[in-house]
Amino acid sequence: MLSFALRRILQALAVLAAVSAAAFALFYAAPADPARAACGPRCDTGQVAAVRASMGLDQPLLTQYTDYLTGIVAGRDIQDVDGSTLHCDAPCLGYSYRLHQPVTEALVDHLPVTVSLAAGALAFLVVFGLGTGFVAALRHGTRTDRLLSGFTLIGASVQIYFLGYVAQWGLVYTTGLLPLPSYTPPATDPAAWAGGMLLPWIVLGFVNSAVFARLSRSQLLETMDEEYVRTARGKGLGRLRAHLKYTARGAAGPLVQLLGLEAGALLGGAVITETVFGLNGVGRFATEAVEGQDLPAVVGAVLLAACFVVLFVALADLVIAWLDPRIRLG
Amino acid sequence: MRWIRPSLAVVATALLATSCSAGAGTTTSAGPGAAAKDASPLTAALGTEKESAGPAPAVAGARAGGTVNVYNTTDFRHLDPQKVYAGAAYNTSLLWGRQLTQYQVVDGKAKLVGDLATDTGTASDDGRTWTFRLKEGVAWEDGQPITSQQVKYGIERSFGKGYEVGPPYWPQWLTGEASYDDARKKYGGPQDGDLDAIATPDDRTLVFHFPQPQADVPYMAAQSSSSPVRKDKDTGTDYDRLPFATGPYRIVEHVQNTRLVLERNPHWKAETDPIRSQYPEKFVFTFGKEALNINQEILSGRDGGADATTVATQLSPELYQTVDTDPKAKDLVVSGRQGAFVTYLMVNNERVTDPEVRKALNLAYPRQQARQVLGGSRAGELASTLSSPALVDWQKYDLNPARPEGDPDAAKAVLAKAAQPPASLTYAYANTPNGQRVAQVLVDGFAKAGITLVPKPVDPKALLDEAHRADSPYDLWEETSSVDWPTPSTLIPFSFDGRANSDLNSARYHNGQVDKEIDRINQIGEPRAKAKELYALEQTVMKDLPVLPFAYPNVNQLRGSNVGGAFVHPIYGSVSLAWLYLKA
Repeated sequence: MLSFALRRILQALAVLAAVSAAAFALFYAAPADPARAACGPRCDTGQVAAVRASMGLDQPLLTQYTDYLTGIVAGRDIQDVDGSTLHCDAPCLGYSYRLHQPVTEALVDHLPVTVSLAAGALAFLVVFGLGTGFVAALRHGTRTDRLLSGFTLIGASVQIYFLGYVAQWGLVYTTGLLPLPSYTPPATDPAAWAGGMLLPWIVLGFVNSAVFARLSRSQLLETMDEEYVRTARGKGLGRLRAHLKYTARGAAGPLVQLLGLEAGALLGGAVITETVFGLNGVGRFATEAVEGQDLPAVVGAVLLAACFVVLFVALADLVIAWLDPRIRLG
Repeated sequence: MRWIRPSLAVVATALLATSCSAGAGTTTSAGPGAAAKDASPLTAALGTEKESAGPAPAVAGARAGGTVNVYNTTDFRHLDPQKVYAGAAYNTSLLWGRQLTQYQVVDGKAKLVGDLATDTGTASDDGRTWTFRLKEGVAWEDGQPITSQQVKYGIERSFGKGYEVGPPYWPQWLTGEASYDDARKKYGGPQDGDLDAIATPDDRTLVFHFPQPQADVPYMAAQSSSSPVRKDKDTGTDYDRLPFATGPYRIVEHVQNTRLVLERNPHWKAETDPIRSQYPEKFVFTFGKEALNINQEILSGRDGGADATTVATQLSPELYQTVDTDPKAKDLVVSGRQGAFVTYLMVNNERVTDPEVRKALNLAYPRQQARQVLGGSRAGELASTLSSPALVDWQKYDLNPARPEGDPDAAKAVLAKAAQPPASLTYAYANTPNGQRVAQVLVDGFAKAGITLVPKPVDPKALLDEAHRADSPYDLWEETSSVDWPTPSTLIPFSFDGRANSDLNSARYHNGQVDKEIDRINQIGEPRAKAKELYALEQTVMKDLPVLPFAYPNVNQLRGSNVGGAFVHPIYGSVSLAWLYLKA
């Protein structure tokens, strides 16, 4: 188990290193000049050169990259465009010259919105996806099964930028059934928080639950036919108890895997959902960073997203190993 | 001279147009924006000492109290007064920042008056010396009086490293250097000690000494860089997030890119301020919403939308039909000219050297069709001048009359006279939906005159960099730019000086006679005499037709149904918050 865990950690670090290097190289190669973006359109060539120097962009790419990695581990001193030196604490994901703020700090400002969105959407996804999948599997071949399968197919085929706008039009602006999508810190006003996030949760959860529902249905159906489940039933265990105790556990592996990936991806910033509902989370932060040619912010957001994916995939692996001891040996 | 990036330029010119005037939406009959329907030229003329005394003209029907919500897609790039250098930020920072002078707006017209200063300054020695005297009773948010040394310190900061983002004029003028870089070699900011060019004989008097005559000092004194800064409150880089207030509001919270909260400043005295009012109790800015969400929330009026406005978000094209068909929605649109901005079809004169070719382009230019795809006549008025109608003493002229819809036959006739008609011309455009629409119109229109346009889509953010680059491969592109204040002083001398680099002289216009005239006119210290000469010089330039004026763009924004006093500031070109109030 220890070597399994060590292997996973090394793999995760390798993935993160590769992602950070790729993000760094990619945006360095972009046609836009981050120094000009930081300096503003009025700056002449001399001024841009001065800003470039204070941003360290005149250094070799490798030096910039190693400085960056050092900052993540140990923090580092950074020079702002006015020549003042600031200390950026570890984990330092660089300094945004556009915002005049350490990237880590800026990401932390936007993270609560994204965490709220992801948590609620995942909860909806699990309850709704697993629920429809379970019912469809139990009612396999009936009208209910076909109805539920058709319904989830809608989720799989519509896009958030379509459903999001239609839902806002129908449920918010026309009928007023739901509050305007917005983020209020839950500590300030829990009711406003839940109210404002309700529609984004439902839409994001519904769209993502389609795959989950279909996968859970087929997994459950497959596991229901396993001999150990039939044995349990044969020994007199009730239908529901047998399925909850044996079928669900046996079918959980791929579902947990999918959930881990989904959680990682959502926490990295649901760019489209945040855009459609006007939520100012990590996804929107990343979009703006790209538009503003804010190189350190872009790299920071990419790394954060990668971290979440790696972390949650690893967590999912651990959960699966706990559910199914055969995995650990493999 | 400042530019707006093409993405913004396209937004600005792409607006829907409504029949509302600048004062539309206000139910009052008087107040700053009320009578802006009057299309006569604006006169941002200089006010007297009496006009510089507070309080600001009362807004009829205005009510005190409440919280105004402001929804913007993004945070302001800068709040540090010496770094602020863009219309919406200038306009908004009026809420917490005061300058030596500022624009008082009455009946939609701007007049420059003393703000912290008792008047717009007194010139002597042919404009080489300017004296300002601070009003009594002007104070910081902690009640301490504002002194001349603090105004001087603010201006000294604008020489410093990191302040390149601000305007270059104080450093250039006060050192007498033509280049900003050279100016900063002479004095590099407060760490170099005292700036000799500004004297502060007492706590209320500032004397500026310029090596050359300067006519535009009163206007420069209205720029954000002419705001005082207190040494003990100067937090360096963090001042850009949280500046110390002198205006009617103070900043109580600013989470970058998320939220900005303003509350009334108890030490601001209305009787010292001829420009601003203090009706709402609070302003709460929310950043990071999409334009369409902002517009829909304001239109719906729900969850604070009725009390909301925006200073930088244009009406979304998706809602054009709604505001066209719903009178209630239409009433919420605030429209007006975008300050002193002008949109041009730029020509690289080093590539298109034959004046006959430029004349033919002007004749064939389908201006009307190009404006149609951006929202029609109300997206802006078609332009024939380099300067904007927002400038002092501006007069309309048209030296190169052309039919708005283009005249292919006339263009062909002129092109036949050209020594070397081009096989094709490269047109670079911002790769946005509007950029694409305009490109299609131009390709079709010019083709009718036998001019082949090769359209090149460019990343909107990179378009100006690409077009201004010394070795740029583009012949034509669209650009929206503005002078820095409403006189012609920063137009021809910056953008059409043959000795300037292609960052400034992006048309690559070279005319030795014009350069000589610029040098001569720059020695004139009297503002109106200088403006008159510059208008004459503008016509000399326009005879060569270095660029093709397209439009004086409009802005169209929304305000909530409970928001009164919203109009487009005639100089800053966005909805001004310094006069807003909530109706109930």
